[in-house]
Amino acid sequence: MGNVTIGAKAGVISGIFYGLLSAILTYITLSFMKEQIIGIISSLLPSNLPISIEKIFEMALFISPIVSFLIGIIGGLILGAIYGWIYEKIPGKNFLIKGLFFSIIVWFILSVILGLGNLQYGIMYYSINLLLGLITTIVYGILLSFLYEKFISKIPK
Amino acid sequence: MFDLPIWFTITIALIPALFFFLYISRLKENTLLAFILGGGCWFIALIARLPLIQLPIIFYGENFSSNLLYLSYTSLLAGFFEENIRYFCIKKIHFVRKDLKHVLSLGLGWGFIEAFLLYGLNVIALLILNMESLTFMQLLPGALERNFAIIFHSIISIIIYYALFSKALLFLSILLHTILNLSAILILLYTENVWFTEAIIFIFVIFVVFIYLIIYRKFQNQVSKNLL
Repeated sequence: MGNVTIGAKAGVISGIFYGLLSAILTYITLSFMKEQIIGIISSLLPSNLPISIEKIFEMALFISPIVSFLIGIIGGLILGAIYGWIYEKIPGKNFLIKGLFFSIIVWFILSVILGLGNLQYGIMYYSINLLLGLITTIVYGILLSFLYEKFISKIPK
Repeated sequence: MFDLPIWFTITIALIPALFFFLYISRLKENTLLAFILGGGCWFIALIARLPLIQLPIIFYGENFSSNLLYLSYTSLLAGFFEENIRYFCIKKIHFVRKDLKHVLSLGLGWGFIEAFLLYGLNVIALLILNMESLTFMQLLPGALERNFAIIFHSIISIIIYYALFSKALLFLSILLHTILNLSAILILLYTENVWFTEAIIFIFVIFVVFIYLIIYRKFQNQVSKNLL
């Protein structure tokens, strides 16, 4: 059986990178898809709103990266703890394979299945999120796996 | 955007808990992990109950959201999900129940992340939206309430730790959480007096501290000295 505490520790550190990367990519995605996002916001809100849609977009642009960063750290810890828990059941003989396998599973659950809700904003938005999700999760998974191996090797047997 | 008094309310809401956490933990051992885990568990409890919160609205419409039955239901959901997830976390993750510092760190992280996401980010959003009509005194009750909530989460985390020895305490925690949420909403709804509502919340949190002291006296011999 793996070590949940070591997994959580490795998960937090990897989660900081995961969160940072997510925050940057979220900001870039929102900025590049400004027109589409504004279109989505205006279709969801009543027309007689006292605040302009531009202001709401500005708010989303400011808050979304912060939330992405926080969720990255928190999610990183929880996924890290799960990684530590199921470590020996993850296929692969080295950290790279284990990390890749774990990240693909996480990506499939978080981006492919749970991200299906994004389809309401169009196939383009969903596809971009799938791709960005894959990049960030692979970076996270490999880093988590590498750190886990490093931390576990320091524990006296 | 750089309205100092408003930033000051965010400071009031977040900094005391952060300083208290740093003071008790000194970031030693796994206290920071427990702190972040607390925030994570709060977030999971929120996401997990969202479909159940939405369900009555889908069936009975938007107007049902102010119905007493619905308010009681959402308060019960908050108590049920948050306390069960807290219990699961303390029971299953060893380092969280290592000592008082770790259990308290979990509670402080729980309340801190809740305060940051529910209060801090919302106030920042109001700033971006240029809601200039909101003054320091209007935002202050919310900031104070976050502190009361953080105290509540910290104490409840310790009570939940004792629930490992007596499951009745888990039900007591769910009940206390539900009563706190429901009474806050109802008092505000019927009196429309924010300060009075905050005073009641404060008194309730003091009451929870007394309950904790009673539980502590009852369980202090049962729980190993090196734990709590």
